[in-house]
Amino acid sequence: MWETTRTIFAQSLERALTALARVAPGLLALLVVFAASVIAAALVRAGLHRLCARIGLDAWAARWGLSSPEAGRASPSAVAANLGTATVLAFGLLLGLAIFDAAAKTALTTHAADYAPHVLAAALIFVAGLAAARALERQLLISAVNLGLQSARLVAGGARWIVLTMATGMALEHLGIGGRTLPILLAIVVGGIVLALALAFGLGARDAVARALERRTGAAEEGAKRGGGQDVQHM
Amino acid sequence: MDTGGSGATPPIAVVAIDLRSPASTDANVRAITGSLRGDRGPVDLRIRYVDWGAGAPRLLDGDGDPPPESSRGLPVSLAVGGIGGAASASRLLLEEGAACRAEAVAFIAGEHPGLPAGWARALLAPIFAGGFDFVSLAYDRHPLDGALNTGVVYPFVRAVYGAALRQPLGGEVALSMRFGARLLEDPDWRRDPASAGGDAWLVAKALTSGARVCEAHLGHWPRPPLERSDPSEVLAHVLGLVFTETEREPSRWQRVQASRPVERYGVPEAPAGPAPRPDVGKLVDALRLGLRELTPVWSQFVPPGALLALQRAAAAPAPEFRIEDRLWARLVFDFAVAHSTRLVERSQLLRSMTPIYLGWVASFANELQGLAPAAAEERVERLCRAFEAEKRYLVGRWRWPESFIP
Repeated sequence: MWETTRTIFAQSLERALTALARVAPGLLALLVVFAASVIAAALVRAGLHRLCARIGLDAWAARWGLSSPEAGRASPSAVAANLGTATVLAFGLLLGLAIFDAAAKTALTTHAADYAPHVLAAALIFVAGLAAARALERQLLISAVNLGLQSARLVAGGARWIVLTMATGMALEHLGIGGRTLPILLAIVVGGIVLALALAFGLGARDAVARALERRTGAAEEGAKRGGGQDVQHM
Repeated sequence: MDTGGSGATPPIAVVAIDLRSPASTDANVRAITGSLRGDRGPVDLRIRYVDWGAGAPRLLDGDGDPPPESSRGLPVSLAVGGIGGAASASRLLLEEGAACRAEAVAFIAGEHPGLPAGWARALLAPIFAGGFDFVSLAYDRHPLDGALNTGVVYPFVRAVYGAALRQPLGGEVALSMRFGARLLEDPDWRRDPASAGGDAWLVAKALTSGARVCEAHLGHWPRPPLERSDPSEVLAHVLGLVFTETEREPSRWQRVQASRPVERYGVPEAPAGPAPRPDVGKLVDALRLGLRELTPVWSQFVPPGALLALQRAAAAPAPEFRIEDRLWARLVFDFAVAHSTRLVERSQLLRSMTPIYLGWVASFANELQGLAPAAAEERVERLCRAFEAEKRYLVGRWRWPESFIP
């Protein structure tokens, strides 16, 4: 009895040690690759920080209204550095997992490797959409104020949300999330925003339109003859 | 006119009639050409036309007919405030002057419905008789007729460069070819072709290079039909030209302490016609809207104290609305510094200034109401002195822009 138990125990131990011996090099390789990816991520982070500082990314983004000068940890250079770091770490982890079980890639690593370019493209689309939305918002805000629209902020904000919604939709489509439901949903949202903007613009721009019509019909000149209300000759 | 030339060979002057404005009608251009030919005196006057029909300027010989009207005119934003620009007509004229061995060249607008007798002589006399290099032309206009010139361009140029040129960006100018030859050698034609040759560039070059500068008063400006120009477009274009020039060799203008009077030819008179009467309520509303919506943009480069002062001023009823000269001067300087540091994209920055500028127009219109022309000019003089007094602020901000960012 004791002999049988001892044999079974020895065989189990041997199997466990054999399995460990089989796994150990892969595990070691995984750790080495991941450690290397951590170092690479740190280098990429430092490199991106220096590159962004050299090209003045934060100042450029602030100039175009893409970010505020006091953005701090949410500044474009910080976001770029974080994205770069996360990408290198993710690729390092996937590479390590692939090496860990090279003979039979797990479904996770295979799927992740196929999916990674879509994630990267979606992230780029979203960031570009975010930047375009903010730049457009400030441009429209200034133009709408100069047109005398009382609902200037609403118009600018609406345009921003349209661009942002479209960018989000495109990014999600790249990720394969939502199927056919998403475009329909986004079309409804964008249509709603456009309708709201049209109403806001129509109501807010009544005076501007009236002035334009007055000019066309010569009523402004009549007003000027009566005294006051003249346009100013600027130069 | 004493031309200073030797009797046998009269001195040569090349005058280019600029056809950029849609008001350069065939009748106007023919009248100008006739007046110039009849008023040339002992000068060999050669007339050219600057035709903008093809987009880039062409210098056409004035012996034939002027180019057809259909090919003339530029959008208002390009037609105001400047000779040349990217495809500079002034370089063409200077080269023509050099080729003709002229002693003087001049740009005049094609909008005049004819020229009074003696006009051409008055234009060229400072060069031939006075030995001047740069003649800035000025007309009798009410301060609010050309409000951007009165409120920003004139006081700014005067404070920065120290020369009281009343209408420095009129688009009309006469130059000696002595100075013109120096301009042709200037590296800016290659380094900065977008600005070189514009009249802000010509003025800045004349005022910083030791050229002899004077002003010729040529009577009443025959007011063309009111241009339906978007103020933000005009503001962005004109101030873009002026502010860009201050970035060139700032050490020179920063040394200028006070303005000096420039020699004047001709006597300024009271402007003809009634003073413009803008709708002050509408202008103040534009400022209030700007304060409500654009403060986050302005607060990136305008100190909080100035914004607060503007908000307090805007709270007053429209007829009592006032912007102090000191505050206005500082605001203009804040925008000039922000333009130089590129803290905000330049076109957006200058367009965002529109509500503040319209507010100033309202304030100035309130102050000028009921004033006689002489008193109105005295008020403009006070404004200029405020700009000069605040120049220390501009120099400080220019040198250490970071330390002023709120």
